[in-house]
Amino acid sequence: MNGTRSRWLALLLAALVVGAAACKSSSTSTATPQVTSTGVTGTPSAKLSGTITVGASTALTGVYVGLGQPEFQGYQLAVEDLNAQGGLLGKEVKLVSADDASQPSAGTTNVRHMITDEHAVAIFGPATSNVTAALESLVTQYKVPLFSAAGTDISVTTTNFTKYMFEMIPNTVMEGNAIGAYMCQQPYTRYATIADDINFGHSKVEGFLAVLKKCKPDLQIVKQEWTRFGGTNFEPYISAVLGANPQVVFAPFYAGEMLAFTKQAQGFGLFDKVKVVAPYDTTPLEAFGTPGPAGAVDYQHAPFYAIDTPQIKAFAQAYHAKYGDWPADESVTAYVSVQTWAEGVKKAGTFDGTKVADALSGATVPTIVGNITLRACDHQAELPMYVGVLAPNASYGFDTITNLYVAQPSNIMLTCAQAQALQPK
Amino acid sequence: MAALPEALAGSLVLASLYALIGAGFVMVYRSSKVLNFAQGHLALLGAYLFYALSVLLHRDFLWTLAALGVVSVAIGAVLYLVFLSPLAGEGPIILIMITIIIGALIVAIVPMVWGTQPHTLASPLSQAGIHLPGGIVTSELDLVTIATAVVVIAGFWCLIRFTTSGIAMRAAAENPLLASYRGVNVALTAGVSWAFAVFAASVAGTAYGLRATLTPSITGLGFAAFPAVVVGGLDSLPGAMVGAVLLAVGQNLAATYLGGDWTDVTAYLVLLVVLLVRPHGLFGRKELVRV
Amino acid sequence: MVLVVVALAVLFRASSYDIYVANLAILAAVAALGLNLLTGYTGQVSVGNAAFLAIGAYTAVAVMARAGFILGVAAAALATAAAGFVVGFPSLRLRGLYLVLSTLALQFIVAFAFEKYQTQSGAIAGYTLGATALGPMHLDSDRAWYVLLVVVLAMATYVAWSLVRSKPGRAWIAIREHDVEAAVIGVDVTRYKLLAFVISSGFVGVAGALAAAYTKHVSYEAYTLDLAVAYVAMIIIGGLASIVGSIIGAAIVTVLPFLITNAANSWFAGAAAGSFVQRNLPFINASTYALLVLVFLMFEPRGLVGLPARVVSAARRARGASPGSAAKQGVI
Repeated sequence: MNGTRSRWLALLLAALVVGAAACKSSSTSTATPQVTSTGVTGTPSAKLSGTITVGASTALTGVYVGLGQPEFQGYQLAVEDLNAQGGLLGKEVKLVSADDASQPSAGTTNVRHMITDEHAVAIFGPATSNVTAALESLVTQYKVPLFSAAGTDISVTTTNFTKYMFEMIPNTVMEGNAIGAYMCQQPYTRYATIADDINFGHSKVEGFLAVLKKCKPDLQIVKQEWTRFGGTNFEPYISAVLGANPQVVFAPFYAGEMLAFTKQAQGFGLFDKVKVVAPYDTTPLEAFGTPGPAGAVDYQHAPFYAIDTPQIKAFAQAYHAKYGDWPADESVTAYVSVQTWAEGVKKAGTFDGTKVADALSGATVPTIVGNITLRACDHQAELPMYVGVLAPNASYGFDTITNLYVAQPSNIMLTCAQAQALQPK
Repeated sequence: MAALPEALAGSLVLASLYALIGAGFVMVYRSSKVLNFAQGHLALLGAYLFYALSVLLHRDFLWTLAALGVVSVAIGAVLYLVFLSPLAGEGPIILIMITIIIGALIVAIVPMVWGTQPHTLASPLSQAGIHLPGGIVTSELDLVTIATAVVVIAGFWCLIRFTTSGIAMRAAAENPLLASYRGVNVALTAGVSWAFAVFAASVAGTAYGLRATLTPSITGLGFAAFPAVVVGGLDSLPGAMVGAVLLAVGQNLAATYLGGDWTDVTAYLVLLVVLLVRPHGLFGRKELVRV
Repeated sequence: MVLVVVALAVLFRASSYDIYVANLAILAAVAALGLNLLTGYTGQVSVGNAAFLAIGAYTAVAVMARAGFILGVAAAALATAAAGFVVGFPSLRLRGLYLVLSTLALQFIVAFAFEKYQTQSGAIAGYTLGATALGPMHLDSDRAWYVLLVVVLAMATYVAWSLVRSKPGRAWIAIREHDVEAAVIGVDVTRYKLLAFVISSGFVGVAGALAAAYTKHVSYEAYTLDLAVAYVAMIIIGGLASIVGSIIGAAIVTVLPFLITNAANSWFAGAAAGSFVQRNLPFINASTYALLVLVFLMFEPRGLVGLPARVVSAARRARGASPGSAAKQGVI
């Protein structure tokens, strides 16, 4: 019976380690002050009768947790603020959440559960477009609106379009057009690209180059490197790119890859030798602190410090007080998503999914980033892109965009005719 | 990645990481015939431990490394005692599952302790390019990484080759029952090899973390290094080193000629071919079937 | 008999979502049965099940839209059986851990091939399948699917049961116990090893095709090594070389994460937003799941099917045990 005893001991130890891990971090997490970010004084929640459930399914583990976690925190804060302001149609809003680990199958299982068992009346998330597309057919089946705060692929509003989906972040076409238009104004002509060797990486590079080709007849593409998705050894590619002597290096990386690329590029002095063009979100910039990738051209969806409304300043402060980090772009778009849904409910006067979706189609709603319109033809939120040069920022302790250029949505979106041509009949 | 010497030089750092991870596989396999699926997860844990110790020791690089060595050896021994020794004698499938569970626990615990947002490791080693003749670009960090891998693996090799515990290790794996009759402490040798495997994984994880950033999802190094070990031979340390270099060069060539997305699958295609043609690898000893 | 009662009870009492989970468990059980024929009975350890599930699912995607549901499932069974035949060849040379490594290679290669295929054909978000019609019947509800899947599982169980009771079963067990000796006593090792691979992967392929038609979505990201490992866990937890064990193991491994999530959600319902528990719920769930699987592995490495017998013998021992006999037990 010795064997059994040692097995029990083993198990106890394993459980203790997990428990200790849990205790260690819970003791270090600081007390969270209750702040209403938009500063609107709320009516006391005692008047609320009953609750209404909404669901957030996004990447809380896996490669894209760097996008999903800040996105989820945005939903969370928005729902708290909504309740602090008196709830919605006299009800308290309850947020249920689940992790999809960027897996379409996990995402659909989560959302199915939220809708059929938890009776969720709206779905927020996910972090990546592959899951968004899988959710689009599911929410159409159940007639529940879906607000996509992070999945940016153009297929969300075109080939997979459904009237229940609202794209709450600028899409990949808007990204390419915005950064393309900015670089068209710059004198450079010798370009190199380095991106992931997957569909996503290729489409980002092609979108960017297509815009440049139109405005720069003398454009030279001196080197194109395709890296392994999820890899972290960029040194051979960086060295190859530098060897071709470009003026500009376009590097559309995200999350952990972006950090690894930047660190190794700094080793090669890439930021001093060429103009690096890359989508730096607040999260990687915050992880770097200073010295960061100063001098690089950054293009972003919703950097909180660059948006000029009083509400977003209050939101950023509340977010920082609550979570210890500054909001990522996805935190902002997530907050805006919940606000948009709430406006839809108020307009429709009901939580019914079809009525809310119809009320929001083509509507203009007030949010923390100002009034935004949800274009009727493809349900793309008309949001600008933010482009500029990164420079150290003493007040935040990391690099932020300076010499800001705001690419207006009307200039960078597909036309309705273009979008509808791609939508299912 | 035009010239061959350049490609070779660029591959050596990657090869060092593979060799370190691979050495851990070999040590564990030699002593207990367990295929450790958690090696990449242990590398992740090692890198995070380096981060934690570095904060604790006020970013003193050498002290942090020393502390990491002690802690990782201890973790290896504890893992063996807690998870594997109670199940000694079970079939290989159960033992593989146990290593998979160890990996699953690590990826669940790491984000609970250190969060999901990325961390960067501090080091005094510069990543600035040093230009050598022949168009080769390297850096302090690269050179130290390669040197460390060579020293660690050479140390393991000497241990196995020239000490009684090394001979005991081989005996324990071949025939645990017979070895124990001859006075070999089977559990001790297996425990020692687990300790060294975790040590090697921690060094590899730290070397990896120093040139990238830490996120809880970087566990792929373990599965990336499997083919290197098989090519070299599951039970051969020199084999793991040669396999690591071949794998890294092969992957860089695949990245150049086929595209970066082909690197992993190329490695596994090579693994499959080696398994079919020469299952014991280039340097491994052929497994005898006793009737 | 017990299973029939349980099946009917689920049909009439459970909510739509519970039936959805039950359906996932049944699909897993079909694949686990196949895997147990290969690993449990024949002794060939494989971590290539996710690859076979993927082959089944992608075949279903290609065939079902054109030729209908039945032909789609049949095509998936044939395609995966053929793939199993090819994958079986290395097993004629490779034993034990080397076979595990070759199926690991299969996992990476197949996942890569489907990823390339999917991204090259522009289906970044995978493939969506239409509603399933079985003759005049429309399988448009979870309950309808549940009835179909219970029938499929019954058929699969019967096929597996008859196989292990007859000549192939005896040959497989002989190969598992010692393949060289099996050859000496006249078992055609090549033939029966390949047969095990063909039948096993056929089962897994059918499960993959049915899962595709049921969930209406196929994408390469779902077919991970973790999934393959989960199937291995099912047959170990249920019991290697046990038909009933495959089904019990599949049910436990499939339902456990849902139970843990539900329990955690109600347990921690009051946790403040942004608090430790709230932020780490997925990791708490994952570590709980890992710990529970660890419990099964450490205390019942022979699987749950052995549990009743062990309980009975332990009870007998407790009744008539003297201190001396207990000490003897400890030595053994």
